[in-house]
Amino acid sequence: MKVSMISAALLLANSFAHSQQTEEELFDLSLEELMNIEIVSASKKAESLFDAPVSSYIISKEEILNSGATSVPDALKPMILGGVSFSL
Amino acid sequence: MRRMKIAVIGLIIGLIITNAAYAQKTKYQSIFIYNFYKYIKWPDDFNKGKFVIGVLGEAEIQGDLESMVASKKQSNGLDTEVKKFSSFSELSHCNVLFISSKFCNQIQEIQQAIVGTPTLIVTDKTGMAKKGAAINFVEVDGKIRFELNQSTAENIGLGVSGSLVNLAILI
Repeated sequence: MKVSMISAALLLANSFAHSQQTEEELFDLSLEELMNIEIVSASKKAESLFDAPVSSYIISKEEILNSGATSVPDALKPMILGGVSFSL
Repeated sequence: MRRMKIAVIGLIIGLIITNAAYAQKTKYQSIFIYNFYKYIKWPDDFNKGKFVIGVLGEAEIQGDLESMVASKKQSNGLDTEVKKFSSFSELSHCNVLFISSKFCNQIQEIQQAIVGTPTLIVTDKTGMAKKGAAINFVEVDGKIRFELNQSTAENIGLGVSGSLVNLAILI
């Protein structure tokens, strides 16, 4: 989940950066060159965001009780290396 | 609850990316329109020194056209002007007229309003090249293409270069 948030932020940054850095060169492009440029396909990007792999874990009731965890992050900690952070 | 938050954030990000993508498309389309002066010949008595691009109705491309014209002025490009029209009764001298999506279904009235003038009508809506537009933008495999209705252009007195014909999807 964290990976997909970071990748989304990177996608956004990339699309904005791309539109600014080539503005001057764009105005001098020929029609043939313009026709070779791939426009960002919004639907494709949106799909890849939602299709981004999300880790899922199944923790049984007994495991939760045995671990003594009192919150969801605590319950997930043993499953995920590096700990869990909820930044939403 | 958390799933809902993820979904909402994903939606917002998706909306932002969609807007960015659309802005890119209209920017490229504005450069196409500017370049048409190299490939299309207007009658000598119609050229009044400035290359006038009109926009009828609200269209994102207007901002891109104005930015490009301002930029071109700085670099001593063709003397170009962008005019905005809110109704077809306001229409005046234009080399190119971009018709917004909303006005596309009134294209026949628009043609009537500018009858006898060699104004290149450009649109960005499916099927418009068969309904009165001389040039209609389309997207093919993620790239900008344009449909050209050569007889529409030539019937109003425009000369279309072979180079443009070769690049176009002919209707």
